[in-house]
Amino acid sequence: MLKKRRNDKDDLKPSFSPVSAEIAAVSPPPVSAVSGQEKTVIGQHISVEGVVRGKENLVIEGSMKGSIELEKHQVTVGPNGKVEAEIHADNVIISGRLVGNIKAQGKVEITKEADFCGEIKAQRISVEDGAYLKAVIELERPSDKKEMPKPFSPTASGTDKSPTSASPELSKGK
Amino acid sequence: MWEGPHSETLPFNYASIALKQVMTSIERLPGGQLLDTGPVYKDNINYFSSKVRRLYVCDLYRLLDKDRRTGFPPGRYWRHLDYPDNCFDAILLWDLIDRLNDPEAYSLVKRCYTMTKPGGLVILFTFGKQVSPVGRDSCIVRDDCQVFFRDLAFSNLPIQYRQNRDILHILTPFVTVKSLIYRNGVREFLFQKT
Repeated sequence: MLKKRRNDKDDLKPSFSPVSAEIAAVSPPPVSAVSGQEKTVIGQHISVEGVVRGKENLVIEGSMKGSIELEKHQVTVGPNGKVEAEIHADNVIISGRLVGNIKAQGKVEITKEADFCGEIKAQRISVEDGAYLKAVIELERPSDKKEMPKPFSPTASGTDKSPTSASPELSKGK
Repeated sequence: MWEGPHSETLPFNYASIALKQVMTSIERLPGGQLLDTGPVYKDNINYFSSKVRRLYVCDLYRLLDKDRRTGFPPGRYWRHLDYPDNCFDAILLWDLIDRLNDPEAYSLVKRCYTMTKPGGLVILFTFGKQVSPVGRDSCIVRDDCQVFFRDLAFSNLPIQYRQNRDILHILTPFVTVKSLIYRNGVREFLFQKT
């Protein structure tokens, strides 16, 4: 089920975490005060479809389809997680199945249990030997920071083109 | 340098001249795009992603192994290479050709030819029985194109050793830029699309 883990600072921080998603489960998602150390867990028997935004870490052990925008937080796709989504986060850890594109401000970690298909844009990447991977990897370089950041397009999944087939940039002449 | 029979005391390593030429060529390109068809090793991903603008990883060793085990029609093996034509500056084939039968090898090369940009490079390794008597080896790359050998842990594609002339014939659509044989028995081929 969708679990909310709170710490002692919750009562002192009345900020609001908007959650916009369709929950295919009995329990609605709890919405409450947050802090940087908190996380929300989408449990193994939960399916979520839509856009997830917020200000705390997210762990997905169930199914998720859509887009996730947690720019300053961590997204983890657990070993049982099945995700089809565009992810914009600080750090991303993949141990389950993910189809979609990742834009991470920090690091993307792919463990050997992962099954990933999509595009990764990140500052750093760590991949364990044996991970199931069909990917495009683009690491941010120092010169990239001078460029104007492109707005992240949280396109929902379900388009005809797979991330990898759509991704290669065609020749501009050598 | 390889000096004795294959044993668990390996891996040995050597500096790959052909790989260095590929990397020198692609590093100069601001939008360089490299396709790695080899097994997923963290060393290779770390190395190549730091050198090129966009690294494409498509582990054909594992995907073809799975296709064969599940009885997938060989004519559809290359659906994994669903990339546009003329999009790669270089393709790393490792010893994949030696893990395919002739019709599969020819059709892979045909697909690679369409995916490679004009002037783009394809690098190919063959190990031979001296280097890999049971065909269970694969390459990882570290600093300065040092190639190390390690167990091919995630694929069971069998190997068939080919002569140089057979390799060159299979790669006919490409022009041979360089072919090298090292004292350790490794052969490297560098091809270019004209």
